Amino acid sequence: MSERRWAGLLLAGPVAILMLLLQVVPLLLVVGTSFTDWQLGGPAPALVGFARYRELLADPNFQASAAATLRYVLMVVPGATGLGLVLALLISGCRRGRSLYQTIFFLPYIATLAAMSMAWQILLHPSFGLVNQALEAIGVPATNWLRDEATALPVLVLIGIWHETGFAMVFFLAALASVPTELHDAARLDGMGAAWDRFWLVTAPHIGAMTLFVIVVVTAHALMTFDTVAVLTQGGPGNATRLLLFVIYQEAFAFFRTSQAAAATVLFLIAALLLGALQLRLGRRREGA
Amino acid sequence: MAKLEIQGLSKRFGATAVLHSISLTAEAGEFISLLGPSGCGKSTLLRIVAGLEQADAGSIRLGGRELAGVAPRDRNVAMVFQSFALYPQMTARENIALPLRARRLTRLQRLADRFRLDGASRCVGAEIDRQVEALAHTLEISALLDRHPVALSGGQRQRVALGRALIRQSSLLLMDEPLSSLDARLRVQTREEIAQIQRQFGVTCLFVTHDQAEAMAVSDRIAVMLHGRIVQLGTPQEIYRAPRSLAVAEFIGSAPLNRFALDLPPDGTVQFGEVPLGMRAPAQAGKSVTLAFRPEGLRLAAAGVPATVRRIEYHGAEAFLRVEHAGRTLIVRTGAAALPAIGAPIHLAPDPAAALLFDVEGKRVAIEPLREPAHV
Repeated sequence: MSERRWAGLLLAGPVAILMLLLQVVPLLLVVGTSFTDWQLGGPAPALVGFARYRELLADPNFQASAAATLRYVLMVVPGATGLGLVLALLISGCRRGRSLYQTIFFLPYIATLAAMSMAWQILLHPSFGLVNQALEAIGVPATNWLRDEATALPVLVLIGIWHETGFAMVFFLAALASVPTELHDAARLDGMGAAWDRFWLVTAPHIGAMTLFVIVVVTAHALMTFDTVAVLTQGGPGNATRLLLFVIYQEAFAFFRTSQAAAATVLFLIAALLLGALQLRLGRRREGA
Repeated sequence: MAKLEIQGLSKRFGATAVLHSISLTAEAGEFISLLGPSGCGKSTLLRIVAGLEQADAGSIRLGGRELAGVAPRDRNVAMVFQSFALYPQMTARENIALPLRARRLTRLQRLADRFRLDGASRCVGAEIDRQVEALAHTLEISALLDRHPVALSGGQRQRVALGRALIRQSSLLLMDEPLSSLDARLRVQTREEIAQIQRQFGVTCLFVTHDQAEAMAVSDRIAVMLHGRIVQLGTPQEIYRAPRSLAVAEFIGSAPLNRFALDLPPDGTVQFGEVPLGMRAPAQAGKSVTLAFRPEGLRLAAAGVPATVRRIEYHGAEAFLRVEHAGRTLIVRTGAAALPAIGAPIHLAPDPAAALLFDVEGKRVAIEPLREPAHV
């Protein structure tokens, strides 16, 4: 028995130590830091309790960035999920070229977003960008897409949707492949043959669980958007595109306000954990039903 | 009740011809099985009749009405699928009611009815409910109506699927291997019930199966399909006793056929081993033929063709003996009362009336008793 225990410890030990060093300890350090006034390179820190959280929640800049993040998520998630589902339905109905389309639409997801952001920057350049040139050619006045407060966030949303749609599509394609074809045949004989009826009668019940999964994961991805903000807008103009992760980065590594960054990280983590718990809960309830 | 007439139906998938000019007529209320090995095109034929596939050529008429170009829902055809294809999110009641709801209520009314909003659709809904209850009573599934398909056994799902197919009182009922997902005992029981329900409702029925025992048990007539063609259409007795070709004879029957290659003498008399059958096939005189016996066509006897018992397959009321004769294995069906021992030498006596004779192309040829005059 004790020999088995030693073997178990020996086998699990290395990974447990790695997890402890790389995940648990840093997390505890972040949580600890958020209760101090520590600044990187500054004097010895003192405990300040919840002061950092109070400051952060009262800070209009932080409120603005939380609101911007919420707006961003609320646009990207339905956009990418809906478009991903539509693409998956179209592609699964294809007789030929299925894998070609699949690859084309999945490419944006596997391409490095930071590099792709450069490409978008060139496309959206106010004077020589393809977007403005094309619009001017048909008589629409040029817009400085990334410097205009009205367009900066929507442009990031579009890029976010462009990036996440392929991800959603691949999962929907997998779910659609599991829908029994005999059910579609039965629906056609039962008088529910129209595509709209068949979608709700046959397809929707089979992809419900996958839809939930896709929504939660895409939400997590959208919450963690950083590359496009860093490359394209730096959070501007004003606070229009200061998404949460970018704020944390700025606080920690541009302003070196380490404890503020730690507090923001903890809030961010709580939001992400709530999301994960929600997914688990909804998933269990579905299985139970 | 309607007559189904299929004329010259052909279908190819790409370069592969699946159906070659199929013609078949089912009388009103008749139960016809499409019997064939997998890949013979029987399911494709059924799907074309249902309107789920389009034929390349030919016509289908149901009750005199041409079905080409008619949508599946407007064909007055119902189908039971191999997997039963019940909607998993719906109860048995909702599954059975769906074909009626789809026809009698508009899309908007169906939505409104879900939330019990619309008075008129509720009235239609109540009438549908009555019909579902009545049918469920006939099918003896009243107690199961509020269960979801996951909570039903295979046989119960089968009945619900049958209910969904019967609720509209279609003229034609199509069944695609509806018993193949049931276990053996349930399969035998359910096929009886299907045959009985079909007679009770008087619906014309096309039943696809690869199981010849199933086809024989339930059908008025059987259409044997091989390689995209109907090679024989007849009653179960005709198919079994008078198969038109060697291929049909080999496919029908639960035990393999005992086959012997022979060269008939110039007078056309047939003999099995050293034993003359007292039969002749004048048209095949001097030609190579195949003589075949089903297991019950050979009997244990005091004298005849010598053989050795190698294995006994005991079935209770009867037994199948695997015996060795001239280096080949033959199968003999016998009563289980007095079985020989394994390794015992026995003699086989052929039953002349059960002999089947096929020419070199595999077509069955006439064989007749010796004394009657030959008609050339």
